Amino acid sequence: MRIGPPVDGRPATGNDDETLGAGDVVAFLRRAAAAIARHEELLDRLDAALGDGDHGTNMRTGLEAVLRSLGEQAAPGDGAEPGEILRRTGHVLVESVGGASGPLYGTAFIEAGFALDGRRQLDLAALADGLDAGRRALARRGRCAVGDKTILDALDPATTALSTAAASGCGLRVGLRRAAHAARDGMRATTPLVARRGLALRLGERSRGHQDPGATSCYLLVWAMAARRDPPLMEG
Amino acid sequence: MDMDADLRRRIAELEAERRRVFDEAQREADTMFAQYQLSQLLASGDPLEPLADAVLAEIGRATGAGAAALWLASPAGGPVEIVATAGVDRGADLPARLPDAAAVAAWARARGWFGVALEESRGAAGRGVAREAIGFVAVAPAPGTALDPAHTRYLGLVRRELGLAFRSAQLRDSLAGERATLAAILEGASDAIVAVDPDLRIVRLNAAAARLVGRPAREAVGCTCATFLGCGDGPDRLCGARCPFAEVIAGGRAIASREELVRHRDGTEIPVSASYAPMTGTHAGAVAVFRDLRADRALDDLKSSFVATISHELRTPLALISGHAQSLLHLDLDAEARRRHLVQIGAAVDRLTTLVDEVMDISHLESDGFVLHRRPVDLAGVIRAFAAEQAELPGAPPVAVDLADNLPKVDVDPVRLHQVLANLAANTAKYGGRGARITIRARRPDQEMAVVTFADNGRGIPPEEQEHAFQRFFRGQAVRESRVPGSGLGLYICRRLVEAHGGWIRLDATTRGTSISFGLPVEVPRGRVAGRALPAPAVGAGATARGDGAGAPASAAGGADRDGTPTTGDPVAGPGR
Repeated sequence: MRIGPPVDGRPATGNDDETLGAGDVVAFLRRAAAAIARHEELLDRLDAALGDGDHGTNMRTGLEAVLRSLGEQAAPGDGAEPGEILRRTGHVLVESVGGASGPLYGTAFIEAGFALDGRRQLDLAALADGLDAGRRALARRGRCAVGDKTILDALDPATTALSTAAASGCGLRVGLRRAAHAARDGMRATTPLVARRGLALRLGERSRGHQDPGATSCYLLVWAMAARRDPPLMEG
Repeated sequence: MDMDADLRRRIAELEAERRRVFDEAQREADTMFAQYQLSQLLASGDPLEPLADAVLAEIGRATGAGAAALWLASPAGGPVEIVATAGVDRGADLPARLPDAAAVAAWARARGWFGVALEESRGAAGRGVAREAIGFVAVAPAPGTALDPAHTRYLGLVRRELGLAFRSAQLRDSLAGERATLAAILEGASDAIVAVDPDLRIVRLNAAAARLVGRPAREAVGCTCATFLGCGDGPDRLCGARCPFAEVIAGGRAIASREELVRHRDGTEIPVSASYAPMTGTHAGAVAVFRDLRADRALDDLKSSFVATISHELRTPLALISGHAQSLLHLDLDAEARRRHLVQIGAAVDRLTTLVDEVMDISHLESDGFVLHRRPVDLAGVIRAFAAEQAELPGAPPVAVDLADNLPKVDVDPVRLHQVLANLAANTAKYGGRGARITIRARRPDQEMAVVTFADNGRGIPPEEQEHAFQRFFRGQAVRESRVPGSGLGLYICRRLVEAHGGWIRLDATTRGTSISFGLPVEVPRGRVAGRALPAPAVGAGATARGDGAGAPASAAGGADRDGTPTTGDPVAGPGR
């Protein structure tokens, strides 16, 4: 692992609007934790229809642990790279999130971190690469495909949107917003699907008509990447 | 720059090594995660069928298989049978049943399927654990692909978990089935069943128990047995030291049937035969079975009245015969006097014959083999012929007829219809006295029934006795005091015969005399109806009695038609019965 020296005593942020630094990644994780916490009840309620009913609680607990670990290990100024922060985040999620979503999100963050290894500043193309690595890892670990009514149903369209935006030379903010919109559409499209993975597999046809909680939390995370403010409250 | 190149090569090697170790760790993690996901499904506690479907889908996905199938033996042992499939139809040349898991393994090997036997552990740690194969799960590659050993390996890791989970699901299912069966037996029992805990609070009861005391079952659970059964009140109260529940809980010994009283919510005391048994184990307490004795008592009463009536009716003519025979034997009588005695003996014998005929009729009517020979019968013709016949009979009251023009053919047994008319006319003759007259009126109020009204100018039936007029052995007080012989069976036989035809019979309200109407089904052109089994007699039937035909009009004699509900059982008609 190559951990660079501190640059100027502050976490590196993008020096323009077209790249993200370690500080931006930390800010993203804080916004993600806030977004999940605000929607904890909604996620639990969605999960109650399809699984154990604890997805929101698990995710909130996990992201709180991530914030704690950032405070302990990646304090502003320790010079951590974005990739390393994402890998640490992944490991904390695996350890602290109950249910299947911990290993799944954790794997995605770890592999995304690996893909971004050695980069201090992330442009849109780099972000698209990282998200794509996370998407592939999650699909492999979960042995899931698009349409199975999982996290992937939000993550996959977000990745595609980000890659397309990068290839077409979009600005960073525009690309991220497109990814968030694609994740939201993917999340909404899970409602009529029959679940083919996870505990909801047992429900068969009865899983129709419920929005997938994993796809919902995934949208919140992608949204947190694109946003600069606190998340708006979703109605559930 | 060899140094530098060497270093770079070394770094690249280390990087590759790191990636290799990482990838390996990831594969391990993938397998563990697959196991984890499977274990979540196995721990769901679902019934066998949805559990097996979900698990096979998961296994198919985790092993990258195109098809998967599961065979299981029942917990009682025996052959293994196919329980679930994924990605392949059950009918599609998969063996539905094989002697054991080894046979499925052989089949799977021959067909290029990969599979593992599912195991159940028997015994306990430290005391020897035996493993037994209770089933087999097999996967087949998708067409044109091969199974990856890295994926199928996981099946071997989870065979015991699968065995345990499926066996548990089978046991859970059979437990649920047994509970449902027991609950159905409990609920369906006609005897009242009540279970109490050691504090004498009701923990379970069946529908019959709720009916017995007229309290809803949901009110009963949690209240004390004394409150529910009403044995806390009254001088004979069983509560406290004499409580049979407390006795069996304390003594641990059952109490066989014992007669007791329970109290209906409305205050009525109900005689019951009660049996008590202690319950041990996790659901300690006692359970009682109460059998309502009221129907038994009513039957006993009926038997007693039968014996009393018949013996009285036998004794009177027998005494007459004996008396006349003594006179003939011991007195020196002239021919005319002997003839008078013989005429009296003949009349007494006729009475005995009539009585025996009636008893035979009753026994015949109430047997399953009773068959009506129904055919379309001209109702007006039958009534006119009956009136003519009565005119010929010495001492019979004259019969006037009043027949509507539109009288239909009725679907009856003409012999039985004649018997009904004859029984009614015999009553008038017996009780009507001199100057008795009969009017038989017939009308057709609707398409389905013809109604015959039989009225006389006799003494009538007092209102308070009308309710019982059609019951077996019932004789009014005035009739009994009149010393006119009779068995109390005539109107009962009429009622049973009319009901056997699917008709009804009732007392009409009159100011004078007796008026009895009965409805008979109009003949409908259809196939022959061979006969009809008789409904069972109802104990305590009201004055209006009806079968399954059109309902009797609601306005009947005062107090006679109490609620208009059918008073007999379900008269199931059917050819050949």
